[in-house]
Amino acid sequence: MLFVEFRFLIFFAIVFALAWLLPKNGQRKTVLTVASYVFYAAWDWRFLALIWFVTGVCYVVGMRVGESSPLSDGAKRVWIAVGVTVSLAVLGLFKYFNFFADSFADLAHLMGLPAGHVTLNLVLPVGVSFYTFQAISYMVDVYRRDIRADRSLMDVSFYIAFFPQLVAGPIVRASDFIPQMESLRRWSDVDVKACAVLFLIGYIKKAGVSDNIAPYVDMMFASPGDFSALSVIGGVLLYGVQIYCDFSGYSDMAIACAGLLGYKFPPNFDSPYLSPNIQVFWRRWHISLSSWLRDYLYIPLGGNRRGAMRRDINMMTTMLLGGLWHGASFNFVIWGGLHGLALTIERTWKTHVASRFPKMGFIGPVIGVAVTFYFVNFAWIFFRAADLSEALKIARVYLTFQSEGAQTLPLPVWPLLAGLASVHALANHMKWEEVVRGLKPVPLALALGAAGAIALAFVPTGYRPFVYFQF
Amino acid sequence: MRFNPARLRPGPRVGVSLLFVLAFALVSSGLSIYLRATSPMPHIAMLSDKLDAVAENGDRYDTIFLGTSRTLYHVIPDEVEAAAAEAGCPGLGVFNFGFYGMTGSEQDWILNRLLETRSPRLKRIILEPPLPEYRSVGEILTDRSRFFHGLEDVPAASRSIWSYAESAPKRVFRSGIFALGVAYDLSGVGRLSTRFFPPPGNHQPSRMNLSEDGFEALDDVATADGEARRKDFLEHIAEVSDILARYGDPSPNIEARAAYMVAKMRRIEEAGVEPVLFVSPDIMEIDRTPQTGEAVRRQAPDLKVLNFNRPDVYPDLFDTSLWHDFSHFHRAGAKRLSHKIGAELCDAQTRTRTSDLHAVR
Repeated sequence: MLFVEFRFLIFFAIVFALAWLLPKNGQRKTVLTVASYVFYAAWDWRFLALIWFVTGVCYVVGMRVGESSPLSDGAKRVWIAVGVTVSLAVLGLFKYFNFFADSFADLAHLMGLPAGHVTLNLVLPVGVSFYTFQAISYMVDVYRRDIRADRSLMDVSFYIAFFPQLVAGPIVRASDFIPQMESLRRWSDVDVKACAVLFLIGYIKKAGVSDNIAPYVDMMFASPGDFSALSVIGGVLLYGVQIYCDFSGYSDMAIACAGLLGYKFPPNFDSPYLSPNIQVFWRRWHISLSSWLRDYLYIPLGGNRRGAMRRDINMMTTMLLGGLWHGASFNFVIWGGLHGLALTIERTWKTHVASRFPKMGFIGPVIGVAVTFYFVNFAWIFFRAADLSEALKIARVYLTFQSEGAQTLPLPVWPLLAGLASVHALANHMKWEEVVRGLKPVPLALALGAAGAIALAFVPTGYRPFVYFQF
Repeated sequence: MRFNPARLRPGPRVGVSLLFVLAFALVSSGLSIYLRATSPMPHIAMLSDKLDAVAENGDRYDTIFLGTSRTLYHVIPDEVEAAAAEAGCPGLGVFNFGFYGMTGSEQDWILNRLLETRSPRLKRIILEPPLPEYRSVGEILTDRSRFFHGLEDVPAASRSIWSYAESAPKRVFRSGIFALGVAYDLSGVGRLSTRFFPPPGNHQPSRMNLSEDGFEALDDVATADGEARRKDFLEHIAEVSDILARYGDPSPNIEARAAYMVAKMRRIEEAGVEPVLFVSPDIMEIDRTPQTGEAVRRQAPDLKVLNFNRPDVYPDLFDTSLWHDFSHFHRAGAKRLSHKIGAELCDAQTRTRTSDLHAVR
């Protein structure tokens, strides 16, 4: 069930009405939890058992490592290690078993050792990467005493399964969400206007932009050698637009849905393509994942507290694992590695080189945004290409501006990109929530109705799944 | 402050919601109607190919069969021509404009198109009673369905649905399907996307093999639906005789259906082309279409009717070895039927006396 499908709108309308009509917090949480399982079962009911297993582990470990647990610190350390390991094992089994088994067999073969390929052909459960990270967040936050262990299995189930974020994030921290669950949500606190507009914005990004340019991106990535250099570069940049609109559109809709039910999710994107450097980019792109990796991986590894060399190693480890989180492929590892390398170079540049150059006024940030955007899209090549050799072919054209192909993309790529860039820049400077809040209900309803109709006309017939569902 | 259900009573909130719906409906339907009117006809598999074939080779055809899959899979133009020549009517040029699942509104649209663009050689159009409307919601999401579910199709579809020989609840259900199809088109979904983001690449639509002048043998077409129908037929082949025993049973709304077909035939006649009604053998429709044919005979004695869905007159057409499924022949069955069509068509041109023993009058 996709957010852009008609059946989701029906589902949401029913859940919305039911939830707000129930007077007690416990009743609402029960309805929302059951609805979340229905939502998940609409993808594949068989994986309900998996999410229940992860929830059960999360609940039991939370009770053992929490502040009120009578266990010793040593025993708590064992329990948290078991909880995190089991969660990662679930993720590893379903997502990486085939990848590591094949890689091991290939490596053994290279070394002349006999090793057969063992593949379980496991189907990747939708959203497993997201809800296992949420489970880890809960257990670690309880262990760190950032939150109290929740005594209610229903509450833990609700936190893990809440449908707006279940299958593609944002990864909501237990410390952000659990306190919201403790009190009855109030209708008067819901910013209906902003949520409605945010949902429409997300819908336009996903269905109106991402889905329309996807066939052209697919076409270029399917046979890059046939295309002129300008079309290859245009295709790569279009992919940057596609993945941004796809994922941030999904996040916008998720945040809006949660908001309409009375729960606040943190923002997941903040105009990332206007970042003046890679460090800022990672504060603005998939914020919930990058901050999760920072707080639960980079800092526990030592962060930047143990010298420059260790800091760079920690950074690279975090980015490589972040790349691998996206999928079981060396392409994702390379993508993460490129970002890790860029962050390391950037820090070295800032520390040792930048101070030797004079300040460049507004030109500096402009050049920074252009270079960052060019690099981020370069890295996307490895993220999107079918395999490494295709990625290298496209990367060569992207870097040298030379291609033997002559075909052009049948789309006014550059005017389209210029138009989208203008909208992106404008949106970055606009406080649209305030504008919307200032509108009277009647003009807003008319504008939303008309905008919704135009958005629907831009939706291609035939749904495409969200790109991030595969992760 | 908690949300109070009492506040759901009609008031400003409901008014604002209605305004939202109104704005949405007005803009989406306005956009849809405008873009529909200014967009070319989409390529519809088989239909577009057959329209092109008739337009390009109009001088070859004086007889066009227009109907459902019972026409598509049952009428072999070469066989009809040969049988007619054998019977003393040489020089017939036959085209099979059978289109699987053809509904009443689709038939009207194609008929108008054929009459508007006809070549001087066209002498007769042989109509098979169409289907009333699609059978499921899933079918209304295709380009074909969308093209035939515009507001302008409402009268033709209503006539077809409400004259169909079936019970009133079924007709209400079919009207609902049609209304959903119209609503889907009026929603405008995808119209701007198609305009501004046409499918990339050199996608050439698959072309139908028209070497047999529009006929297609079910034996040559391997589809999942076809295989499922075949399997079902073989599993229940023993039931054929029971179904055929329903021949002559009363069926609702037959006179209305006949009047609907007569009106169509009169329209053809007014355009200066001879209309003929063709009722194909169809085991599943044994209690419905034969009676429609006979009712047309009663209502318009001057019109020609080819009624082959009569096991008492044509027992050899109901030999189960000729059938692929409960509604369609194999090539062998099509060949046998086409031979009879050619002979009877010629007979109709030359005979003046009437006979209940013949399909044509």
